[in-house]
Amino acid sequence: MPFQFPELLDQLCPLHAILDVQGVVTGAGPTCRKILPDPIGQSVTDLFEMRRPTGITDASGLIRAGAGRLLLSPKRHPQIRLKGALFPVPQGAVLNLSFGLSMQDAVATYNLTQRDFPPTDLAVELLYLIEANALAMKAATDVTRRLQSARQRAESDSHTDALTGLLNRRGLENAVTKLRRHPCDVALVLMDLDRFKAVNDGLGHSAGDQVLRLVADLLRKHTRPDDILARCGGDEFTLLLHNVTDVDLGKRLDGLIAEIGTPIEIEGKTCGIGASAGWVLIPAQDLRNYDNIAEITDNALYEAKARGRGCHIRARIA
Amino acid sequence: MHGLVNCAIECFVRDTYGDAMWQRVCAQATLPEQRFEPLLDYDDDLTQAILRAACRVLRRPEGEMLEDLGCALISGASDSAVATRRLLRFSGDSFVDFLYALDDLADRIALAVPDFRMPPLTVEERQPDLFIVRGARLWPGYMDVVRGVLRAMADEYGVLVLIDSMDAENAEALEVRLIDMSFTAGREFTLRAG
Repeated sequence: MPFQFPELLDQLCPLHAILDVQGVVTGAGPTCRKILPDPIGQSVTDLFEMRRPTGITDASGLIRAGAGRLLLSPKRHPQIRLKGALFPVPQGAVLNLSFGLSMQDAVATYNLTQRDFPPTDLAVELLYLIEANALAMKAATDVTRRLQSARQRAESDSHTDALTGLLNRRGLENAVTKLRRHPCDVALVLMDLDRFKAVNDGLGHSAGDQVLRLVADLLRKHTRPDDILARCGGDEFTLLLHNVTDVDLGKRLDGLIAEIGTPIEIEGKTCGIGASAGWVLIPAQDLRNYDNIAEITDNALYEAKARGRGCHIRARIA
Repeated sequence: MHGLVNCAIECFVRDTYGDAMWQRVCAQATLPEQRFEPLLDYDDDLTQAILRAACRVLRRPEGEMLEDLGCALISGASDSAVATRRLLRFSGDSFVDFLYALDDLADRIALAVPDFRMPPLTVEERQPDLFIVRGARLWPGYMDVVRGVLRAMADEYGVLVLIDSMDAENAEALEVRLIDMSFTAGREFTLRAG
């Protein structure tokens, strides 16, 4: 006797097919008929590609294998991966199907509506959740993007070097503009670290960063709070000190360079860096030609390095 | 208040009345021009201040304005309205299913935005064509927004309804009377995402 409850199955499992002992479809639920236009009389292995279990060659073999879980795809739409449950009944079996993770794909492919799913199925909730999540994710991404661009703007507007807390190039330019209105003398010092590359290459960037922070602390220690200290990229430091004599400045630089040259321990390893400097003492108004002055001072720094490093040289202004 | 609520108010004013009007609302509330973030939390007082300022600047009673806001969440061609009405359509195949599903609306929303707890709604079917929708007394004016949402969703489903707030001592309830279940064809809805 054929299976007796097709109406009940149509309601509770609209995505089912009834198979006879040969594995030929003798009945199909309404949603199943949307996926397989004309299934009655066709063999289940002609309609579906069996993925699991493997080794099933003909439909009657599937029926003989008895109850179990299946993975299969409609031959017309191999991208849709269905989950199946086979349940033996007298003279055949009932095959119930679900769309699993192919849900979205199946809804689009077969134009499914809420009525195509059993009333207790979570399919519609799943689709709701996919859409709602996509929207929430977009909102979150938008916030992150806005925060990121705000941060970039803030960073490019910033006058401070985030690593050392000294001024950055922008901050230095700003300070130079202010300072050149003052009727006093200023010392411009350009300082480079010696052997810094060896630390960076040998011990890594985080060790390099520690060294730069340490040097910044020493700069603060050997200058006064209202002196201008900047790091303009890499290991190049620029100092602007006002109200100093050449003798006083010479002493400060001697002390600073000596202390930077003292071996320090970073991450358990001893680092021997040093510093070289070029400097010039000029009336503050001369900072109007900052680029010129800086070039002359940079030549002095270069000379200090050429002379064996760890020293400072006063630039000669023609 | 969750930023989504403040965003909804901001979008409503900007989209309906223009950016200049939103600037005036902020000025009226003595705030710098605000751009609310949907996923951040804001002080409840801020939301109240914005609402009061909007009523004054737009010269509209609060209940009426909030109902319009509820409608605007659903109707219209903006991306956000399209998205909202799609999400709500998932809760039911017919307007009556949709009404029943209002019981789950707060949970359904929390599923998408876990830290966003809306006041729960309960639905009672008095007669096959008469429903009572009650809201917890948590957010002042919330049921006005719900009234607007129900009106707009009835349109979506093509149903003609009468919606009344119930008598004063029971101000947090709405009476929804179904007049014509197939008044118009309604808007087409497919499970398939646009």
